[in-house]
Amino acid sequence: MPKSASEILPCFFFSSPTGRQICALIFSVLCLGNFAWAADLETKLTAERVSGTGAAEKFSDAAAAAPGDTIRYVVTFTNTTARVLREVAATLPIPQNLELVLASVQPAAREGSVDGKEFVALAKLLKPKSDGGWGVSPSAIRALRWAPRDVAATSALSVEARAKVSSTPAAQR
Amino acid sequence: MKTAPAPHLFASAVALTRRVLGLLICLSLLGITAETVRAAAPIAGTTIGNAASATYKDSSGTDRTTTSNTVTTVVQQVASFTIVANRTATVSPGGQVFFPHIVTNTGNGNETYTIGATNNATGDNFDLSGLTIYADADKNGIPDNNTAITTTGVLASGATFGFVVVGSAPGSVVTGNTSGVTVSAAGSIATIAQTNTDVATVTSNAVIAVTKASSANSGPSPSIAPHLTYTLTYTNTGNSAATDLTITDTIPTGLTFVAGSTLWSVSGATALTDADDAETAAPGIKVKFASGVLTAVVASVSPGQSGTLTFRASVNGSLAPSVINNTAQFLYTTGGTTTTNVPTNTVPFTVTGSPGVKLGPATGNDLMQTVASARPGETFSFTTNTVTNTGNGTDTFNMAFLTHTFPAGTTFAFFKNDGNTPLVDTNGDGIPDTGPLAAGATYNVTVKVTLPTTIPTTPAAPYTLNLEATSVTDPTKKDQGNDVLTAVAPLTVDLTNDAAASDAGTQLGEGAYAAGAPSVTNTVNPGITTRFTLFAYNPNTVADSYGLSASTVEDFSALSLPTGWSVVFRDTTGAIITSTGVISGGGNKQYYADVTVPAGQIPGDTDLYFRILSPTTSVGDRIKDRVTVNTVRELSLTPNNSGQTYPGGSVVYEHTLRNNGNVLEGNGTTSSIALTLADSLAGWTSITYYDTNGNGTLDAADAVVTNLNFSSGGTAGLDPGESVRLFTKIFAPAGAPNLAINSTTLTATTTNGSLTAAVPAVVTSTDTTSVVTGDLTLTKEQVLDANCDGNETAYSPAQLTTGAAPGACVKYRITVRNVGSTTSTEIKIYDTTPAFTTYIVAPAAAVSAGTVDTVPTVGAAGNFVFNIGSLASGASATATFTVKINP
Repeated sequence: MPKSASEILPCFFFSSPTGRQICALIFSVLCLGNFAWAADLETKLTAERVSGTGAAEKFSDAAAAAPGDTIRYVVTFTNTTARVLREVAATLPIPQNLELVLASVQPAAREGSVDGKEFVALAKLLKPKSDGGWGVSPSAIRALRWAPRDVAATSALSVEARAKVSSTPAAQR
Repeated sequence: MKTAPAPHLFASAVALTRRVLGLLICLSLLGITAETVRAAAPIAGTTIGNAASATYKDSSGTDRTTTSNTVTTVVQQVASFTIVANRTATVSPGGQVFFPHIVTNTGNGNETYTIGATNNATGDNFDLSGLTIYADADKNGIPDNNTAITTTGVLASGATFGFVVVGSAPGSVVTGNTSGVTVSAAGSIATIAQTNTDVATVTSNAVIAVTKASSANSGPSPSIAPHLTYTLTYTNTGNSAATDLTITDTIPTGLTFVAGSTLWSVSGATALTDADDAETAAPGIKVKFASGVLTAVVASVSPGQSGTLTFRASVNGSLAPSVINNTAQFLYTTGGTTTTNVPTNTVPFTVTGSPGVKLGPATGNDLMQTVASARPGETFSFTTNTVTNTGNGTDTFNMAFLTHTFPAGTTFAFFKNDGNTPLVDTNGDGIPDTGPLAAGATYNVTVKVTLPTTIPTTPAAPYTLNLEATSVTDPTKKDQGNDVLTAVAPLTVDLTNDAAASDAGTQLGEGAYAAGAPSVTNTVNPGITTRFTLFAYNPNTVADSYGLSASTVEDFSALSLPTGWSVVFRDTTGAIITSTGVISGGGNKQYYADVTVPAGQIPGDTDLYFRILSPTTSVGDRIKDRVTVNTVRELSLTPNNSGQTYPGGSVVYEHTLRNNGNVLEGNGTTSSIALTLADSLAGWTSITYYDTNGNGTLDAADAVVTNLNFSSGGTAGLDPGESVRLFTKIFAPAGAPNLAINSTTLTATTTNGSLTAAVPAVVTSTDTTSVVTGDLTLTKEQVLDANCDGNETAYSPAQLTTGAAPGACVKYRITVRNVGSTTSTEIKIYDTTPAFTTYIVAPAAAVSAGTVDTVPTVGAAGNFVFNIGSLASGASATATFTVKINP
């Protein structure tokens, strides 16, 4: 975001400083890219606590969960613009104290990471070391990343994964 | 009879703990996080925070990042516990028996446990009297005090509580009698009770109890001298002596036996040797330490006698917070039989967590990273702010900005180690943090810095940013580091020809402007508009727009163009522009400079400088291009005239000779233009005059000329665009017959002097003079017959201006009319083929009345005589002939 409205050429035409500020704001939003806040792709994360299995599955608020409970994370990306937004690649961290339920990842994620920084193809991450893979167990996966997809205007795209709160009893602390 | 003790459950629990512990320690030493082993349940109340993110391209193809809201989940409590272990012990009639137990809170939150001990109603021989539970905090198997308890009090997750169940055997029992006791524990949340079964067996033999104690139940890794002292206390509460009491103590992993530290209460301060030999200084005991096991054999313990064995062990370094358990075993011989190994109580040692943090390569406010330069408005990253967990357990570190010397308006933000996702708070205190890091693990925090778009000159770079990382477990453990931006690079813009500076390779005019050869030269004729293609490239990270200008002045102290020149800037759609419009950071714009060279521009090079300049940031660039104007040489001589005179008379015709080229012609130096005249009929003469006084009339002031060397317009010769008025005066000889037609051709021929370019084409004009006597009028007309087929009939007196090319034909028609009142007789028309033509039969010459007396030879120049004969008053006749222009 430019620091002063006078730096934006068309906003010269506003005589009042307020006008210039508003002009700068609108101008910046419309024409100059690269901001931290991006209102055009709304991103929403929801967490639900899963109880029961199969047809009897119930979802409740995940503000609290016990060790052994499964939390279902759903990320929804909504394109609020009138033009397609391309190559949306979602990243969902799996925080410490949670263990990923691999079969619950929808759609299948393309890459996983054990440190949140370096991403490796998921299949390779899980393959045993003797087979040329990393030999990582799903509970060690700390982030998932999905393949990029385009999101049409005013449409939405969502990804989800479930993770279980670690439940091994404390031996000694 | 002794019941074989069955401590297998307890021992296997110990072994499992040891195995898991060993694995954890081994893995942490290898630097692999403990997450490769199933992680323990988080403590109740732990906050699990999460935020998702995505990268994408917006509608203009720019890379963007978006982050979601944060959701948090608080971990609830799940309660569980264990109670260990089933105990067996021997007891003398009337003696006391001690059963030690440990309750462990294996849930993830606080809980209180009720404990009790009751005699079993059946399955045994007698009941112990006075069953009481006492606390045993130091877990040495001996009650800490005389206070009976029924509860463990509040135990935190993972905490243990040691207690001892004490009972007395009646004096009447006999050897081999057994008594069973059920010890139970139940939690305030995990309310289902769990039990251990203890069995006391009466013996009249020696009854040895060995208990173990430690000088400290917790401490740091590594320990500080004199380290841990373990005390093994043995007592014979039986009625006969025990021999060869063998105590073995396996030093657990994580501890290191202090050599030669074993002492015996009987021998006092005399150190016992570790070697497998007799203790010369301490008869009655033999001690050896081999393969991690301390073995002591006390030769004999009398009834009622007790003693202690102590040894020291140090806690190894780099251990994660954990519990190290130590249990000894003992056996002895009594009444001719040797018991099997019985474990003592377990003494746990808790390795305490000692948090620590290092930010950067060293502790203290050390330099972490230097970025060489950044432009105003640019966002750049410091990517190697390395947080190291120097503690011995998993910890989370809050990140904060301290001071900085960057210009006002600079913003800073923390990002995860991927450099793109904002750093979030994971533990619920509202401060962004690294998330849990295992002991020894490192994490690179990225800091993104955005400079303001205008940066004042003071304070000057370099600029320093100070950061701090603080342990969440112990906020007094913190460390600082700093990052430096060395310089601010100026904003720049690059103006190039034909391709943008951002394209691969070096483009024309790339880089800042430097005087030198022009980048592009367009060579044109005068009167042409030529186009230069220009590109403006904005390499900064902020957008800007630039005004366009052109000048012949290199430094643009004036915006000037040569007289008659114009420069118009256009964009790629052809619209006229005066500015590039907004060019985003990293973007470029193509535009054109259309330069119009006026007609008559003299040949030579004209250097033009183009400039782009931002009115807001004053960033600009220039480029030098050149227009080279060709030499164009062309003359024109007009018009062709026609007139009449009488024999012996004269006619004056006017001509304009014009220099349509762009060089000075005919001044005798650059070139010479000769003016020559030729008359078609014999006897006719002609002279060329220059209208010296410029009045449009031939008079005495006008000079006779045979070339252009005369001065006109102030100088000799014709300047580009200059024209001179010439007169040709034609004299008809006195004997010229009536209706003779004479063509006078004025030719201007150029020869080079100092000029070297090809001379302009020869130009001519033709004046047609006819002789008319009396009342006859003579009119001559022509029509172009381009393909010489003779079909044209559209005669006109107008001069032929186009199409009279070599190889084409021209048809002439001469009309003679008797405008007098009487008949004219003996009318003859005389004419000749015009210069540069020959007579052709297409069709043949003809008259409408009379005869054709003379024609030139076909294919040759020559004379015509048309013998019309008589014409009555008002009558007319025509003569026609065709000529072909010399190829």
